Amino acid sequence: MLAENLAISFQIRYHRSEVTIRETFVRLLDRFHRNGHRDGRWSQVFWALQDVNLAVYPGEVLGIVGPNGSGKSTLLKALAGILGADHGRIEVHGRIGCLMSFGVGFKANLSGRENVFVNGSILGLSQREVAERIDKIIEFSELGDFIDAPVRTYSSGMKGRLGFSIAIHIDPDVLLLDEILTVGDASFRAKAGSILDRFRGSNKTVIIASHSMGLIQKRCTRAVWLDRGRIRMDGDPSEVAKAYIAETEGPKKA
Amino acid sequence: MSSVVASNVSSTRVPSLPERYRRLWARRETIRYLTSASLKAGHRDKVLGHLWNLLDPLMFMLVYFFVFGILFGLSGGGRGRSIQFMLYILIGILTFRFISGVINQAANCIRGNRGLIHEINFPKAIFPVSVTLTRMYDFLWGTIVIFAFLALGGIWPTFHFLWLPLLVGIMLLFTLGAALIVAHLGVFFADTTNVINVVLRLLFYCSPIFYYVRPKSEIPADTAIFLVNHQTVHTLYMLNPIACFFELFRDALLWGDMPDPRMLLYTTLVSLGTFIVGFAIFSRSESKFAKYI
Repeated sequence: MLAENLAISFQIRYHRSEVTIRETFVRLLDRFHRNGHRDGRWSQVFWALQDVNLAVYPGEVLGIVGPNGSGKSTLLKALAGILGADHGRIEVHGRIGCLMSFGVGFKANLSGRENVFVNGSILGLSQREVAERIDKIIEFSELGDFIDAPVRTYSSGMKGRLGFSIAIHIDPDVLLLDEILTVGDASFRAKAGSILDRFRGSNKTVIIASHSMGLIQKRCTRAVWLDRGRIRMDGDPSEVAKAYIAETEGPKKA
Repeated sequence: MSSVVASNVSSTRVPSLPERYRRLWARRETIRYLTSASLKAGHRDKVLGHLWNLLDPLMFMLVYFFVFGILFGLSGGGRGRSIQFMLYILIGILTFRFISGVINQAANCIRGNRGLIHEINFPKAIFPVSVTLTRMYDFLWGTIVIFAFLALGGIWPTFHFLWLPLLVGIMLLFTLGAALIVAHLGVFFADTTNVINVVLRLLFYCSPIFYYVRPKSEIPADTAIFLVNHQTVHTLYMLNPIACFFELFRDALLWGDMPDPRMLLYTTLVSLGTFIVGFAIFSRSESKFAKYI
């Protein structure tokens, strides 16, 4: 693939609500009785991300840090187009490869090899393109003969390795990873880490959400600190990590 | 190399309808994979495997034939009449099992693929489409049973058999539309499955599967129960497109007639409408799916 230049700039506001028929019904009744007045109890709007402005360029490895629920995954999912934006817009140049969680999209009854074809196709590869890459994918995943066993027999580590291997071999221009480098054993992690360096070298973009400050400082060229859906800090990874650690551990020491 | 969009812009704006059709069409290979994957998984652990595609409609037909043909005495006497009634039931059963099977599965096809939907962005319509195609495969196997019984009853192919591909195509369009609507509802309301079950049960009894609704010279008057003798009632009854599909198939295959043109026109329009509306509402809200499941 051509190394397209990537520019992501967007403003996003995103709300999440669980709606059941009962709630809708109750809300309707509510509206009848109160003549249009809406009780806040029945509709809770949660803005997982608010006014996020971010531009990421090719060659950057961006780390996203932040406590649980700060919007890291939401941001990645919005970038991947999985969650539609409620406000603002997202612009991505090039093919996106993403891995939010490990192999959850695999079909349990099919073999690993069959799943590579299904997943590759969903990721936008043609049958021929998958066939060209299948050997490299299997080799990288280190699954060996297990590749022809049904995926239901895989351990979560094996699924994660296969998922990661597919994601990097589709030659994405933008790779989105959510906590992925915690998968697999130490040697696989090291290999996966070096892949990130290769991505950076070939002018592609990687965005990682992680809780591992070590990883952020070691692999990233830039870091963003998300706090309750807003960008708190954007800059050099070691400075962001330092500030983030100071904030989260500071109160305990005091 | 790849046909994947080189640049994609997503915002709060929903892509235009032709664009949504184009994106779905670009995913035809994925649909093929999903369909063959679920076909492989479907009968994998069964002793009789894909033979069930033949046995299922056959067994159900025999059950209904026993109950309604023999116990209720609807088939009339003699071998010829029996086989005719068996075929009558078979066509109904097979068609109904296809449509109801698709609708049943469609209600959960988005929630069932939650993992994938939260991982990658793609046109979600591939799921209801592949559900429909998977069931279509079973349906086509079932037609083998029909042809076997046609031969058994001494009914040889006529020119009217040529209507079959067209009729199947129209039915596919209708079912696809219904699947999209049900899949869409299934995302926003987890209760869809419960409602669907009741509605399908009602449709089962309100469609002419094991009783006659149309006076035909081939149906002996003493065995036929024309539940709907009254003209207005009959018209209302036939508004059910599923009932129309039964009758159209029976015209072409069993009675060796030209399918009733007015019924054919009505069914075509309803199917086209169902598909257009179904795809429009499904694809308009698919970007919200990930938030609700």
